[in-house]
Parts: sequence; C-alpha cells; structure tokens
Amino acid sequence: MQATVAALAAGHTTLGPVSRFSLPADEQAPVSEIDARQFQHSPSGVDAALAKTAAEALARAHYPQMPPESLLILGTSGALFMGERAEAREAWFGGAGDVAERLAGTLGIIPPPLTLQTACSSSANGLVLAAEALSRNEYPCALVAGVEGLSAVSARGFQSLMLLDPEGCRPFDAARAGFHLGEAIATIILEPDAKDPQGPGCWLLGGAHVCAALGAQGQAPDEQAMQEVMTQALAAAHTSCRDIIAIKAHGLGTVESDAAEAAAIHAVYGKTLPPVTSLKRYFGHTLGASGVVETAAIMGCLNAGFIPATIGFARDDAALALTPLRATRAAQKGCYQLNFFGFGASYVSLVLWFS
Amino acid sequence: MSRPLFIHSAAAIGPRGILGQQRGPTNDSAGNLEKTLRGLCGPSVRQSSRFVVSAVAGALLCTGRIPVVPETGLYFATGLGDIRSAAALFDQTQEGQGRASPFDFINVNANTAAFQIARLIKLNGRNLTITQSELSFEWALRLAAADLRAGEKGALVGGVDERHLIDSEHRRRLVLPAGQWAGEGSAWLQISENPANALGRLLQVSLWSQTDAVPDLWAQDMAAHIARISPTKDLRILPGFRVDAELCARLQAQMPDAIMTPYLEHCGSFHTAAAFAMVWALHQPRRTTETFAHVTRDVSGHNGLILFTAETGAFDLIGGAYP
Repeated sequence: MQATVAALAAGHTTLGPVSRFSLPADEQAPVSEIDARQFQHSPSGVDAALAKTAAEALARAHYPQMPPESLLILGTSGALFMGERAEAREAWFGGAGDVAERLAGTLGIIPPPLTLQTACSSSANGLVLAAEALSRNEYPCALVAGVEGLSAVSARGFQSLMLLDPEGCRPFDAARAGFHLGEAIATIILEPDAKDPQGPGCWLLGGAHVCAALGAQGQAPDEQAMQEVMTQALAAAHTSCRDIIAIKAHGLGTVESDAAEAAAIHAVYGKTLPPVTSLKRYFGHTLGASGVVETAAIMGCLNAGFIPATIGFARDDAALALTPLRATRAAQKGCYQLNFFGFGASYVSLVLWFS
Repeated sequence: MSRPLFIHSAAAIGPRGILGQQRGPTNDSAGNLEKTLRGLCGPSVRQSSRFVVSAVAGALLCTGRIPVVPETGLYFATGLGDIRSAAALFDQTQEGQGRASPFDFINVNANTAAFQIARLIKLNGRNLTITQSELSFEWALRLAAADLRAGEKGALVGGVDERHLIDSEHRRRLVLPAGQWAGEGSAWLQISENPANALGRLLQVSLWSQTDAVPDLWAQDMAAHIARISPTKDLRILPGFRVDAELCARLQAQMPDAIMTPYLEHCGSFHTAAAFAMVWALHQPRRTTETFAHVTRDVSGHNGLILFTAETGAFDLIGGAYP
C-alpha cells in the first residue's frame, strides 16, 4: 500500500506493454501489470498475492489474525486465470469460488465464503453486502477481496468491443478513446463499531447498488441509473451532496461512460461540484477488483493526507463541463463519494467518511 | 430463520425438458430444447449463448404464472457460468488464432444472464450473480431472504449451470465418481413475505463449516441442524450431489423417520442442482403438506441446508401453468 500511495502522490502509472502473453500485431494495447516477481500467473500465484494483501490489511487493522467467524467476500469478473496458457483454461474452469475457499482456509475463516461476479462492480458490491451483513450482526468482522488477473481473454475480448485506448486511459479528456486493462489484488477489512462511528480513520457510511437493465440499451452506460445510485448512496449514508469533499468517479475513459457519469454528477450535485478524480490511469481498469482496489487506494491517499489527481487528463471536453482534479489536493475531514459502474448495468456507489 | 418466507412460483428446465409444462418438450434432445427455449425468450436474445438463453427461459417460465413487481431482487447462482462460451473464447484467443468473438465475450461475463433477465422481465431491484461452487444457490437464497426481511418486495432466485461439451473435462472438474452423471439445469423460484396462495414456505437456509469429514459426525451435525427447525418424522431429505450413499445411510440412521428422496436422476449432478431439487419437489402431487430438507456439502467441508415446505395445492397451481 505504501508504494501504491507513493505512486498516486507522484502521479506515476504502471502503464506499459503487455508481457504476460503475446497479442497479434494489430491488437497491441498497453496494460498495467503487477510486477511478475510479486505475482506469478498461476492459481498459486493468485493465492499468494491474496494472502499477502490480506496480511497487510490485518497488520493495518492491528489484528493478529482474522476472527474465525468472519465473513469473506471475493469480487471478481472471473479473470482469475492467467495469461493464455493451458493452466489458464484450467483455472477458469475451476470457478471463482475455489479461490475464495482457499483464501478462507489460509486465513482460518470458518464460515463458507461468498464469491460475487457482477462484472466491474463485483468487489464494490462485496463491500455493500459485507456492510449490510455486519449491520445485521451476522459476523464479527468481514474481509472483502478484489481479484483480477490480466488475461488474453480479457484483452482480446475488450479489444473486440473496441473499448481499449491505445494511449491508455484518459478519464474525462476530450480525446479519450477507452481504457486500458489492469491487474490487481486488494483486500479491505470491515469491522462494525458503534462506539465512535465517525472517529479517526475511514468509515463506510453507506452504499447503494442499482441494476440499470430497464433503461439500458444493450450494455450502454445509463446516466439516469448512475444518478440514481449516487443519490441512493448519499441517502444510505444519511448525508447530502453538500457534505461531499470529493468524488472518486468511475472515470472509465470511454466516450459514452464518462459522458453519462459527468451528466449524472451534474444532476446530483448541481452547480457546486466538489473535486472529481479518477484512478483508472494509475491502475488501469481492474474490472471486478476495482471496487476494493480503488477504495483501498483512496483510503490510503486520504490517510496520507491528499486527494489524488486525475492523471491521463489533458484537455477539457466542453460537452462534459467537468474538469477533473489535475493536481493532488490536501485531504479534508468529511465525506467522499466513490462510483463503480459495471457491465450488465450493475452500478454501485459508496460514501466514505474520513477523519 | 426468524419467520418463514413464501414461495409463489417455481419453474425448471432440466436435461429432460421443461419441468411441469403440460405441453411442449419432454425427454427432448438438447438441440430441440434449446430451440424451444429461444422461442420462449424471443428475438432479443438471438446473440445470446445457450447458457444465457437457458437462464432467461427459466426465469420467464417462473414469472409467467405470477408477474413480478419491478422492485423484485434478482439472485442468480451459477457454479461454473457460461463454460461453453468460455471454452470458445479460450480457443479463439490462443496465440496466433483469430479474433475474439464479441458475442462470446459478452456472454461469458458472469452477470450477462442476470442482466438479460432483468431487462426482459423489467426488474430494477438488486441484481446479484453468485458463483460459490456447490453453495452458490444456498448463498443466493440466503441473500434473498436477508433482503426480503429488510423490506424488499420480492425475490427471484435461480440456479443455472450447463454441461461442458466435453463430458470427461466436465466430470473431472466436478470430481464426479463413476456412475454419477453430469447434469445441467435452470431452476427458478419467486419468493416473498406474502403468504397468500403460496406453493410452499422457505423455512431455513443455513451455511456452515464442518472440517471433520467423518461420515457419522457429518450426519449427526446435519441432523442436529435440521432438528432445530423441523420435526424429522416424514421429513423428505433431498441429498445433494456430494452427499453420497454412505452419507445418506448415516443421515438416515440419525433420522429413521425421515424419507430419503433422491432427485438427481432427474437432472444429474451440477453445482446449482439444489434449485432444481426445490422446483422438482414442489411439482410432485401430494395429499398433505410436506417438509423437505435439501442437504449438501462442498469439497472444502462446508455444508448447506435448505428447509422448505410444499403445500397440497402446489401441484395443481403449477401444473399447466405455462401457456
């Protein structure tokens, strides 16, 4: 986390050529890869990386170990397989549930784990469900993991949909042309604490999930549903847009998604927009992992005292009327709204309290 | 579970056709069944895979008798997802091969089926896809129950899995012993807190761990969980596909008054077979209300239990339900 926060503070991206596998010459696309020395492309590599992030989360939470009766939720879009080798096929057919089972075993978590696959909002939904389960006192604590490995299937699949920007993700930029793929593994530990609900640290005040299937034309981004999920999240957090210090946008970098999100933000916030930032250029789009990855990153930045800038943005798109944060800004005590929008019209918005 | 929830509709498609449909295919070949299901779904799923079509058709059958309110939550469980599209994508994206099919790529997204169902049935409530191996459906039911108790107006809960085209690969993945055949199905239930005209009651969904794999201890533990909720006399036990003959015998020994009611011969073994079991049980003719316990376990030692009742009128209500 320390290295990640340092990179966010410095505006560094891991964008580079793909090394995990080879792509045809006419399908080259830059990606954000994890250092292969830290994360081997194999099922055991995924397990090891998950265990490593969980250990760091435990240390930050000052837990010697997870309470055995904890809830474990894993969110992924399914790209747990690695590269395009034979074992990738095997890992895919192993199903995502196996990864959560193994992590539960490693952490000594006794209850059966839960794996969610709601595309790019998977682990964000995991955070919402975990918070709900904790509020019902079903578990003493919850660990939510987001896992996404880079794969030839994802790279070539998104290429076939013409959603990848050969220049890398440029959120809200006039010349934006898509996103770049990233791989990431992250974990967040949630614990209920009614003693000091807005004390020091980060608090998940509320979240909402909306499925925009009614309004969506095919899989196109739905401005109305984005507006609805942001409004619902504010209501769930018992707060209003006036209290929001900054928005971590989904900021995908596609023409349509950024236009819909900008319109939704304007509709919810009116004329007084708080700073808006996107993290997609730093990590790439980490698909189902992005909920936990970007939430953890924002928490890390806030704890380090800053709101990260939107790198990859250079020129305003007049149609959006939204200029994202171009330089880091000092973090302030208060609420932060985080958006995560996924394929299948699955939208999530969270409200964090930072003190 | 603090208070019962009520099952209002149930429909399933299995390897042998559409369960409970009075007209239409039974003992149909897979090819003809897929054609029938595509007909049920209409032209908007023409580019969808067999898996997505099977999921959508099952959900449409379940909501055909009783319409759902738009706020209904959708809880979609699948163990392996759209493995045929996934296999096709892997073949396409091998080094030096041709381009990935955008349709295969969209279909292989685990929540594409749930999205298509929500779009066609016009649902705007919670929409979750759960992929937790053998316990996917139990998790889906449990999340649905929690949301219903929190005020959600209704829940549409389904379990869908399909067979891989290569039987040996599929059987290896499912770790199926000799003599147990790999099945598939799309089974759906409508559930709410409204008791009126219910086909049955959902009494309990439990998920827990038991690291000790000794059959006697497993049976004692499972029997104890059941006994906390329901009398065991005449209770019908639906054994899931990991509950083998030995475990069945031990469980029967613990609950001699219960009646073992195998169902896998109707659908085969797959991760979400519990959904099919519930629908199948509700479709059986009966003279008195019966209580069922679907018992299952996964390869890691986690157990799943679904306790539900089927009312006397359920068969009449379901039979001939779909026009």
